[in-house]
Amino acid sequence: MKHGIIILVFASLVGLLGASQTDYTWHLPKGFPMPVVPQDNPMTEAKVELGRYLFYDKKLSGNGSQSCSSCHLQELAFTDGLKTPVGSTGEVLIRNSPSLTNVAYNATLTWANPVLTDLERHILVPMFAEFPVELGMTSKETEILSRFKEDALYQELFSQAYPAAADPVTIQNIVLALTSFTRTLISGNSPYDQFVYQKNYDALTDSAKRGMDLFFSERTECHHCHGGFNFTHSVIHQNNVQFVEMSFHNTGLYNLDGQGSYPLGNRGLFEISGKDSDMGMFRAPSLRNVALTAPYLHDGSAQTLEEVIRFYEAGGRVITEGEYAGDGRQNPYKSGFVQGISLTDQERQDLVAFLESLTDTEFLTNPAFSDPFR
Amino acid sequence: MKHISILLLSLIFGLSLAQETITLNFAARVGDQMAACGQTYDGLGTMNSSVEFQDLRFYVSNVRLMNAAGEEIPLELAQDGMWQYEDVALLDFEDGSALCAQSGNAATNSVVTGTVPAGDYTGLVFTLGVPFSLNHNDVTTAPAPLNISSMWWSWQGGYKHIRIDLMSHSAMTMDTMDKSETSEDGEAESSNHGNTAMSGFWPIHLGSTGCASEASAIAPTTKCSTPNTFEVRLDSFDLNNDTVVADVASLLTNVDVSQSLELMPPGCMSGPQDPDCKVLFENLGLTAGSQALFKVGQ
Repeated sequence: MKHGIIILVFASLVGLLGASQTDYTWHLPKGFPMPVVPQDNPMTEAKVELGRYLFYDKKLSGNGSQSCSSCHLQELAFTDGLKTPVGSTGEVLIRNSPSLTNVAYNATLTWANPVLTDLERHILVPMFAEFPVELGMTSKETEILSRFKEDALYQELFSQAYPAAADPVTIQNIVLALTSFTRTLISGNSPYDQFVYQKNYDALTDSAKRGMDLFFSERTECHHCHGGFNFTHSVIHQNNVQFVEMSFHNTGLYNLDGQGSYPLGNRGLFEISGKDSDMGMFRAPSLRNVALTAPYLHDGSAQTLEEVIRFYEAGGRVITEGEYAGDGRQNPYKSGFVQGISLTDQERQDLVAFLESLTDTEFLTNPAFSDPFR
Repeated sequence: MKHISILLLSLIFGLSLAQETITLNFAARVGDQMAACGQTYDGLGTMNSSVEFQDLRFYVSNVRLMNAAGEEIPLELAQDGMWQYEDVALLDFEDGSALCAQSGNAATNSVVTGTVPAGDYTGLVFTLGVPFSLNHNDVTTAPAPLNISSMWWSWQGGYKHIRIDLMSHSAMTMDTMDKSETSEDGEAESSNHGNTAMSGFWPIHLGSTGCASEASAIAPTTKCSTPNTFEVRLDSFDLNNDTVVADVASLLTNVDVSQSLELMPPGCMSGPQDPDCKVLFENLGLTAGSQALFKVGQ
């Protein structure tokens, strides 16, 4: 009888593991909600580990010159410090490399695509995009897969991650592992988090505290688009699946023709929908680790945080000469929250100090996110 | 054992007999028109502005039904995991379309459901807004419908009890003829064009103010000096046939929504000194008189 019970318990435990297929333990920061994970790609330690190797491996690009980490460097909060990145074949991309900080919580992926909501589908963009080429995997799939099949290290990693598969080295399994790894890139131990969630009221400087009150005030309106635990309203997690918000805005960066136009190829949601009112609409990005992710904006056209703040102070950007000349302040599609603010030098410094308090040094040095080949 | 079962059954049966399920219908209107995203409503406020909605949501709480004896009997809200939590419900008339895409989402709700002891009820009372006990929670971990970041300010400020974002154009500047005529003189035209579009953003965010805490990211422990919630009393309300109507035209009576007197913030964000809030607060009965937003309709 006793043995029977033990066997029964053991069998049901195995059954549970088999059914949910997850053995991954989230180490979420205090105050953070549980991310949404697709049912057909449950988190496992083995997939996350495989994904980490793949993320840092140049074998993943068509010509072997780039990895995901070429444009997403851990020490820069998984950005690259460039205005816009250069793909594996030398083509210059049109938009700034977005940070992967807390990407598991993004309601939509990339800078401006309301229908790209899953990492599993999004990751096909850097892998297979042709205009412009990023990793350049298109039509090189067989060659790329054979690089991993012939590598003893990857034979082991793939079979650990997909123990039931006869031939686990597939593009689909690469996608599932890469997304599993990127979902673990969670940052929530900045001085701000220590102050707010860990109740360590010494964590913020007086200047950062003043900046925080300004940030959340109706005077600056920053929080209307960059609010919530991830400093963007574009979030999805297990506590808000009923009311997912997307948060795309035109902030008055350009106005090429007096009718609100943004530069060709960089017109935001307009390029997806074709609707005039979507001109210049881009996703409000998270501001976590923002001090490390310069240059800023969807096209990397602002060098410093102070420059970004000054542009919001002006209520838009005026470009006086060159092909992008125009008064962005008068863009007819500009968000109503970007009206211009008058800040003192001290207040501007305080806002910068607050944004700097969103830097999570543990995230930038966490060995679990680092290059396994180093 | 058998006796207990019978006792339990009869208790449950007895209780279910004594309770009735109530559905209260709400509607958002502009005068006699339904209020919805993507439509333009003319003749609003002191400047006869043409207005489009960019958001249209509000919280109600502490819903009570009045019986003939004048007693107020609490409606126990159904805990549906979506629109109602404890004694708070969200009424949501924006569907995320047109301008409402900026802060909204597709889901909408126009009912409050719950149970009361069976009886004759002739009136309805509720509080507009989120009660202090729930108002300063963390939106990230709060249950629905208190999990919507665009309906939340910060721990200190709490939720937006009402969010009605308007995009308005005064009758004069809406005139497209006017635009095309002036388009010949280049710069001046483009500047007018832009100003017209921008000055039209007129959000109404009603929330508590005077909530003292050490910082915006810390919840207050004592009640806010100006909660900006108010009681709505509909003395004669037929549960079967009547609808609670939020009439945005009444709310905007004598309000100038063609421009913000104080540019930042635009519209009224509940600032006690914001001149754009003055008449609005009177129309909500917060500073004088009684509220004019809600009335009984069909």
